[in-house]
Amino acid sequence: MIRQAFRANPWAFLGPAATQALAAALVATGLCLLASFDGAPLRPDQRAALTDSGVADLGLIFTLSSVYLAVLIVGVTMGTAIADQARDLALVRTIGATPARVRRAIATQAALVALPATAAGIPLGLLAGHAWLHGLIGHGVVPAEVSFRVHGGTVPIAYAVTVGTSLLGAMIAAIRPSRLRPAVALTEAMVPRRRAGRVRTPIGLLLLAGGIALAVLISGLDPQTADQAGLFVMLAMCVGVGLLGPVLLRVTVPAVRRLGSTGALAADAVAARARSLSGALVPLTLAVAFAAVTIVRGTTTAHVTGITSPAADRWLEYSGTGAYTAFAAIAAVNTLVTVMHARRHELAVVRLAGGTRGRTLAVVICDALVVTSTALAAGAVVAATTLLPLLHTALGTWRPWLPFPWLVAGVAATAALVFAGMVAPAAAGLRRAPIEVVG
Amino acid sequence: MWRRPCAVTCSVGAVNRTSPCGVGTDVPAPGDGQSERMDSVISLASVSRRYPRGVRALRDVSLDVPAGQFVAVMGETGSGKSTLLHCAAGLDRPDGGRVRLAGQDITRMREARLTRLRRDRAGFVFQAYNLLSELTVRQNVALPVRLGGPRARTVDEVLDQVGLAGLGERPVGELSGGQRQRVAVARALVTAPAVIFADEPTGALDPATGARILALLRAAADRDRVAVLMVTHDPVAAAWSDRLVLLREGAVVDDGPASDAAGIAERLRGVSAVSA
Repeated sequence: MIRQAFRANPWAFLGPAATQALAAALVATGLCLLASFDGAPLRPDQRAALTDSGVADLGLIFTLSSVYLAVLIVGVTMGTAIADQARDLALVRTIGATPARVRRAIATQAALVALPATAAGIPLGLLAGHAWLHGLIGHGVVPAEVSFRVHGGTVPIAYAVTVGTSLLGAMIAAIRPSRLRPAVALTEAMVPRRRAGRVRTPIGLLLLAGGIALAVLISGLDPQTADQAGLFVMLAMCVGVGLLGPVLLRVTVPAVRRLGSTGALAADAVAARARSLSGALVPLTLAVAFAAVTIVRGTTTAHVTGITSPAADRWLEYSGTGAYTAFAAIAAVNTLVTVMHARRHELAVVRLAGGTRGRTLAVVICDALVVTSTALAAGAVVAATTLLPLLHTALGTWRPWLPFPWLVAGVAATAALVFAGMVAPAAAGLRRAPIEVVG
Repeated sequence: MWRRPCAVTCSVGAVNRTSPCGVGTDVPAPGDGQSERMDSVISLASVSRRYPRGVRALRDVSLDVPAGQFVAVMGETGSGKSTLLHCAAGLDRPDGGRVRLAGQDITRMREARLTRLRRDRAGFVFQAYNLLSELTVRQNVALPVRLGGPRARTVDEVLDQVGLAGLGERPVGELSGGQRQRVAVARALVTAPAVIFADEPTGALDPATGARILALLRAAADRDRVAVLMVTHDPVAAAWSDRLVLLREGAVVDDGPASDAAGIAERLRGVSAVSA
């Protein structure tokens, strides 16, 4: 069963593997910063300066944030990979695999992916940590006495995080295929579910409401506490957006339908696959929101106070956010590639039914536009909810400020991500004869 | 034409078309003997199944299939054929009535136990999506055994029986449609099941290739005393069976010995005409 899963769609596991490697790398980076700061032979005044500037906590904050992100993103990509196997799981359930057995097989897959991915990620993280520390010293953020150290617990902690999150994501994804009656599973394997979940939507709404409530709450607190709670506002809202994804995507669909027959085809495809596409919405929204919050906070602060923050601070801020954004972006592209891989059959049918290669690709481009605009809108809402209380507590303003070219660049970058995940694999797939794909 | 009210349990003795060498090699495993209806491998009593939107897929269907009988279930699309097969096999649960499979009441059986019963006593052949595409023929056939089912027969033995000896190491992706379907039959046979459920097993095959699959199912019923429940829309396929059950709007409207393809087509038209 496991062999089938890996061989049938090795690409489906690229997503979880890549995100787990990155999660391991981020955790390793955070841990080595932690160890380097703690172990550095600093004079008391240097130590105090480091603690006062908040840089001393950087390692811990970075490590913890990486763990939160990993739970979310690895869970989502693993879930997508499992959903891709629905048909095979329905078959083995029919011929005698018990629900427990299916869960075990899925858990084994999750662990098997996590082991090599983590092994690849740790050295990457140590290199990144080394480079980052040099950057920090070079920019004068930390004293030169701080030298690169590897945290003793790097390997076990990184493994605990990746294997743990991978298992968690896989087990949540496995609940449905393992519990379904085989007759229902066999039908569902051929026709993806369209109805929004009865549990999914309320929980999504609850998380969104919780995020907004927390944002309102922290807008009355001191800047530092608000800053720390900001991450939770963002995470809660991003998960909420992911859960509401099918609903959100369907809201965007009528607009696409206006784009003629190609738009109508694309709208149908998005409506049918809303569930799997919303798996990509979580990391995309996270990436958009993370980048937006950091950049807009910087530009607004400069705009309001008229003072540009020191280059060292900006560098610190952007390098950290850059790592998270890249992590989320890679996860988003991976998830989209997995979804497109599952759609290759459908695209081949469109071509057999008379769609030219260009027309078929146009449908995919329309889909990509739907995903891009939904992610941008959701990301903007999440970023605004996270950012406004922070701006209010720190600067006393509710109005964010972003230069127009930056906005355009952000939209273009998001579109580029989505196109890399959807249009590029579709274009590659369309080069094969459709009958080969269908047969 | 031979009709009876559908609510009555319809048990028709097997019309014996046994092959000349009709030696019962694999009698259903011990344990069946204790059940009250020792001759029924599949037993549905007043089974009904409703779908969420009020569609009644099955209405008060009763059906008993003894060992060694090959039953064809026919009816128009949406008449409840597949639901009947799914309920009989424990792939779906009825809303009313009782279902027994291989001597055990599965109506309220726990999912894990039901799955093991299915694994050990039932084989499945579907129209498509029968096999795990990335595994070899041998790995696919051995799947029920890998999942913990009884190793009643060797893989080579069943591959030989379905005419695929020597192809064990080939990935199923390389096989033709007919060969793939024979792999599915081999997988269904490897546990020496009491019953084989077949849902449109020849639906995607040409007549000659389809006939080979049907001959295999026929042989399983005659030689191994396997009860075969086959859903089909093809009168030619149904003509291989002992007994024909016709469904209309979820109810049994005809249940009797199967005839030749022309006769079956005629009966099928009769049922459709009533509904039109």
